[in-house]
Amino acid sequence: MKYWILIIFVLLLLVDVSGQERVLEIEFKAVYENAPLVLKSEVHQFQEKKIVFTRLKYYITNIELRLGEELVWKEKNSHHLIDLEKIETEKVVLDLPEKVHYDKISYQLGVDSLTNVSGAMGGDLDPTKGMYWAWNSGYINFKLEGVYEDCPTRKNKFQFHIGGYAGNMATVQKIEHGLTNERPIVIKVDVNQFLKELNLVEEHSLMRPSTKSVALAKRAALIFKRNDE
Amino acid sequence: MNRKINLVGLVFVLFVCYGFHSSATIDFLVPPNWPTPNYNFDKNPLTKAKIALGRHLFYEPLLSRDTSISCSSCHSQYTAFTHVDHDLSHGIDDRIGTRNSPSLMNLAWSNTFMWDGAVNHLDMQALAPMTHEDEMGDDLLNVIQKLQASSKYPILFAKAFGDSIITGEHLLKAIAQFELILVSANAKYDQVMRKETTFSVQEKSGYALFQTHCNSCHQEPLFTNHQFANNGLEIDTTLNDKGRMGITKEAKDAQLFKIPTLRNVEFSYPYMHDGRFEQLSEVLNHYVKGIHKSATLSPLLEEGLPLTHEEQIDLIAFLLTLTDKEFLFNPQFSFPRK
Ligand code: HEC
Ligand code: HEC
Repeated sequence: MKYWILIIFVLLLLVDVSGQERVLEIEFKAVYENAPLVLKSEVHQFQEKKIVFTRLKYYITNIELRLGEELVWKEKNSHHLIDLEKIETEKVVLDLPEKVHYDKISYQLGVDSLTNVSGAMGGDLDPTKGMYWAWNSGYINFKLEGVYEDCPTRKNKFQFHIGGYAGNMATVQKIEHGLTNERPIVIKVDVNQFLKELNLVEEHSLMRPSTKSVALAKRAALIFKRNDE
Repeated sequence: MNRKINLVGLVFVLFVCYGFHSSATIDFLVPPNWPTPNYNFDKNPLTKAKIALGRHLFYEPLLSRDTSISCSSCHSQYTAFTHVDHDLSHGIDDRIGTRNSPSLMNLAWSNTFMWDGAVNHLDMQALAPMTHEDEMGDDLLNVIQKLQASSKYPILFAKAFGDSIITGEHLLKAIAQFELILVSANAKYDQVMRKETTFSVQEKSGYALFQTHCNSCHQEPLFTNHQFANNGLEIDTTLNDKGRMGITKEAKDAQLFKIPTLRNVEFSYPYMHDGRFEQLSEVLNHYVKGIHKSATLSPLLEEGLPLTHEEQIDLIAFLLTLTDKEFLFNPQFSFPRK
């Protein structure tokens, strides 16, 4: 008989915990307008010309959860390289402690300045990941590459490597979303929104920190949207 | 029975000694009266095994695309780790880079690297020669694959980092460790400062002139204040190198270059970022009557430096006291023989 009480007690506990799950998944879904973005094989249209994307990589860092304005949790060593070529990187799984209540999530697009000046690092920050500038130290925060019919470049390639951490060339961006009960949290990343105001015939290559990079970093931050935003 | 215990004991002692020798943290010794190093050793604690690995890598031609050159090809120990036979360092396929290779020493005190400060951390510097087509023309992953496929490196990485799988982080940290121990602090100048010997009359006069005219930029004891300056070199229009401005994009940084150390300057010719001077006398001649005026010229050099011919000779005598033979011929820094 006593055992039953114990079991019921345990079940109750479980119910309580499941009310606030300990694992929080965030899925970054790259799209082009409303269709999923497929690298290399899919041909999309941009300003009535053909466009194909070959690479989309970016850093999501410093993930934090808030309840109202109060910070309730922050991820340790929070550096995630999302790489569309490696689908397993699109999902970020957070291990939360018990009973954190939150209604907002925030993170940064890009690597913060302290990390940028701290020397060699491993994991997603390892320079073998192709997101580091050797000849002008610093991480590339956001990389978008592809081929556009009208680009006057070799093989019509365009490439935007956005980075820079120092002073007025800092490109790291903070992004915040209010949360509903929807799980996993799905964040759409619409590349079309990023390109929309660009003239790819003239602006097609950006490979180092500059004021232009700062402007484009701000635009890149705006394309991260929760499903119903 | 007893013998067995002894054997176990012996193996244990050997194990401890081995551990002590190769993976125990080594303290970085700061010479007396030198400032605190800028390098954060907590993030990359020195060990014998990591330094040894870094040394092998520094002399390793696998780091270049056609396995023709290693770091030491452009940074040779006997010339204070610089390259002497050409004003602009040769890279692979004999392409010529646009700058003179600087001497390498006392790097733990530097806060920026390259003539224009393009690199912000010693760890990250080695990426540049491994990935720039004007130099070693290879990309990092390729280098790692070659090292991983060799018979030697997986073992050396395992000894150093406890992991035979080579990562970019470990590769860079090991190279940095070898560079960090390249400390030059035993020139005649240092011995005089430690009161172990004295300057000659000429050297003493040169030292006084140095303190008056040069020390604000080439500051003791490192002989650089780690800042950037325009020391009045006329721009070489075949290269059009704007120096620091290339990085910061600010007009005030046009033609500013990093103030190099003058330690072992006897051997670090040719001089300046583009190697334009062969002799120290030419360098002094520049400071005395060759200063080229421009908007960013250092105010200290506006009038040129008023040094007579005799004073220039004394000054050179002093500069030669910065030669550190122990450093130049230290067997721990040379090509690692097995
Ligand atoms: C082809 C010649 C060449 C090779 C090979 C080479 N370097 Fe250099 N090194 C240079 C030149 C030239 C510079 C200056 C570059 C600049 O200012 O833009 C330099 C700069 C440096 C600096 C910065 C020093 C300072 O005080 O600013 C370090 C450190 C260095 N090299 C280490 C290395 C290491 C480690 C390797 C091997 C992985 C290497 N170099 C390979 C030519 C070379
Ligand atoms: C305003 C700061 C300043 C002063 C003062 C100054 N220098 Fe320099 N020095 C520099 C800079 C900057 C460079 C590197 C310039 C370049 O390569 O473009 C340099 C380069 C040198 C070099 C070349 C070193 C190498 O390895 O290439 C020598 C030698 C030198 N200076 C000696 C002197 C002497 C001797 C004095 C005093 C008579 C002096 N300097 C005064 C800023 C200064």
